[in-house]
Amino acid sequence: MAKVMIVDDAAFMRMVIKDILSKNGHEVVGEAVDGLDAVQKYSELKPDVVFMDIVMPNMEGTEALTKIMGMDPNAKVIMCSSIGQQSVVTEAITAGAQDFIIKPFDATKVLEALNNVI
Amino acid sequence: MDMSEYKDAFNAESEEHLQELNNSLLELEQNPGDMEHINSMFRAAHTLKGMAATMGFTTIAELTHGMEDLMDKVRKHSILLDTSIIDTLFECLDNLEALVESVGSGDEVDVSNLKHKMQKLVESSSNEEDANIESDSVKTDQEAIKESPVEVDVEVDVEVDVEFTDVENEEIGDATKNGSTIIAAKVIIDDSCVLKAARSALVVRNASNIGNIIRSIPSLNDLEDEKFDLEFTLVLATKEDMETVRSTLVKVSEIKDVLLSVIKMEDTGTEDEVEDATNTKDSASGGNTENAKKTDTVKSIQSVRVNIERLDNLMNLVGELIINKIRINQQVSELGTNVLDEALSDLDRLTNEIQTEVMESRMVPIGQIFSRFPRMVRDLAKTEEKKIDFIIEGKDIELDRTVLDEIGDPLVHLLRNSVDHGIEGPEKRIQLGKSDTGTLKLSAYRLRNSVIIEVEDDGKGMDPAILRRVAVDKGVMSRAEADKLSDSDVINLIFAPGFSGAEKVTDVSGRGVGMDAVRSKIEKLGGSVTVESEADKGSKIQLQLPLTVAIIQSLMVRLNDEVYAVPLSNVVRDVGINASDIKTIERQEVIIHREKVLPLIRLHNLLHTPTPAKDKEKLIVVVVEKMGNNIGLIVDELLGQQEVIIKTLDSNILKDTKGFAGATILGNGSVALILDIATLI
Repeated sequence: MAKVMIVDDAAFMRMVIKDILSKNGHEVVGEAVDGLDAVQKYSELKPDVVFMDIVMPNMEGTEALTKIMGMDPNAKVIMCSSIGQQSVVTEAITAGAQDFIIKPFDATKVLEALNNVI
Repeated sequence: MDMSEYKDAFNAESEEHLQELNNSLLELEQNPGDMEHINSMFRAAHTLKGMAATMGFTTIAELTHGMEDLMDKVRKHSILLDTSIIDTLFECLDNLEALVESVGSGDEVDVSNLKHKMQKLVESSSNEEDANIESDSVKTDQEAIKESPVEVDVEVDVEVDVEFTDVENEEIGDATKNGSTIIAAKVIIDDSCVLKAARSALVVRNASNIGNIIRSIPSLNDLEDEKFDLEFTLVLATKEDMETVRSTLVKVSEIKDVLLSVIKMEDTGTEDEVEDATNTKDSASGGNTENAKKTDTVKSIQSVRVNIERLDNLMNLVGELIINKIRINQQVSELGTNVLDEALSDLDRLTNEIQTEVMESRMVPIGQIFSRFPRMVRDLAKTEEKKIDFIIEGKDIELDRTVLDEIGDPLVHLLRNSVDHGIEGPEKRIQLGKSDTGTLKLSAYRLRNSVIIEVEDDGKGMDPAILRRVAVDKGVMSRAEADKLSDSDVINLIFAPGFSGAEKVTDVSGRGVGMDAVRSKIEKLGGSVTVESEADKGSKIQLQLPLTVAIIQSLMVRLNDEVYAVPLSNVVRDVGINASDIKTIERQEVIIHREKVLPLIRLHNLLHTPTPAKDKEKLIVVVVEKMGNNIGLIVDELLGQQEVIIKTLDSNILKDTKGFAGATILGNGSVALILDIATLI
């Protein structure tokens, strides 16, 4: 079981990931609606793992990732990406992302990614 | 995964994103260079794409993907946002709206043409970029050529046929002297993987965390450019044992397998002994105890989405609760005891608070329906070749959801009227000495217990003379009657059924729904409509709406043994009259009240309840307003003013009942009908 924070500007996407995780015994300790929110909540909630969307208002996922890695070099961040964002994902990996998953989310892959990092 | 349970959430949120796209696009049409809106469109399209793909709505996903591509080009300045692109994007939005609406209904919207169109727009800009990429990769290939032949012996799982360069050989030599093993790892990626390059980047990063990558096949550049199929091989110098290497590399999602073999360099003659290095660098996925400590300060969620039916139910229950409270109050007062006084006054306060809270929770910002109008006005103005500056004020004003749902159509009608009949074409406006751009203002503000919505334009206004003529032509009234009306009364003629002020019927308005429909809808909600207009200056239409419809202030009246509720919004005043003052004009009972003729209606007759055998000398009249006219209703007794909770008559049997807006339950448990003045008289 892991304590997870979900970052996505779409409530719908958060709901989908949240359901997948909680149905499999993980605890979603927080949700953030954009990068800024994520950075702030990360330091408050100290989740084991963060699922981070990339394209978001206010602060994009990659920037939030960099900030979080800066605060906690051991942070485990899984990027949530769409097809066609290869370069951004690669950039995120360079910045320290542990793994990434691709929309549309498939429950097994979400769990696989999570199990790989915890 | 069964996604049907997410459909409502998907629809609700999609509509928000569509709205955002619409708004941003409208802004961009005005300021094509506005990066903020370009970015926000890109984001909204992107988010929508992800959501649709998750739900399996491929058409929506494809269309939004196309939009995202297009916006990305715009963002990177490789496409200029011109009218053809903006129009295409608007077309996309229309299709998306249709698609989102038809979700689940099985209706398909054909978007192949549109996709093709977007494809072309994107391609027209990308030729140049492709050329750049091409030349890059040529360079990297050339760099990789210089190699010296070295025989390699490969064992176990994977065969690597590779010739190392001088530099590489040197590295290998150094590494083996340091006690590292040279391992070739063949990484096989799952065939469902989409971003293979990013996947390989993860593996490469993990690999470099435990060792030194000497060679990658294909080259790292090619991996980055996704120039490989489902597998690639890394030659790694590491102090880790085989098992650690394998688990480190395989511990990346979508990696199907990793096959390893130790490479023995024949010409360097190093041993193939694997050192058991225990004290090594942290592997990327290594365990980590620091994060196990957690604080319990989980911040609560600030808002939740609630189905409107829930809120309706809640409102109903609050209504019942209040009725019951009144009942208890009544029964306790009949008992003549005061032991319960304190408890009852607490109950009173609590129920009032619950009522207010529930009512507040049903309030929605009016911006939710206002936001769809800029697009509509823009489209209308474009088809009619008019220039219109559309201003919205008071988006944050809140109204009950039910009221909000009902006023959309009337507002559409009023705005269309203004664009269609009100605001003149640019040439005409210049002739009249006005600016060529007309102003149309939609504003909302709160006034005591109601919300005022105004639609105001600076167009041609209404000419009383034309209105009189049209009224006579349409048979609404005779010439003589029309001439008798004052100019301000003439304007109210637009509310008469069958009246349309349009000089010519256009495609846009003047068909079917008229101002009478607007008025009856607003009155049904317990509101009212007023018009001000001046020829060549413009018109202003004002809607006054109650904050909520679930609870209304009513005047309770008695007829025989029955109690009825008259909505206070219809009541002008009550008066006592003498039966002997009633006169009869054209078989209609009237009375002279405040120097005006007031038609009288005996509610007994209207509702078919027995009339009192003998008229009393003193009669009680409730003066109500209908379509701007006052009418007196004769009742037996006034019982006072009271808040009543409306239970609508919307069952199959009762839904067509005329004359009643609904029913309410009184404190003593009996039912009282609520009169609907608009359909009763």
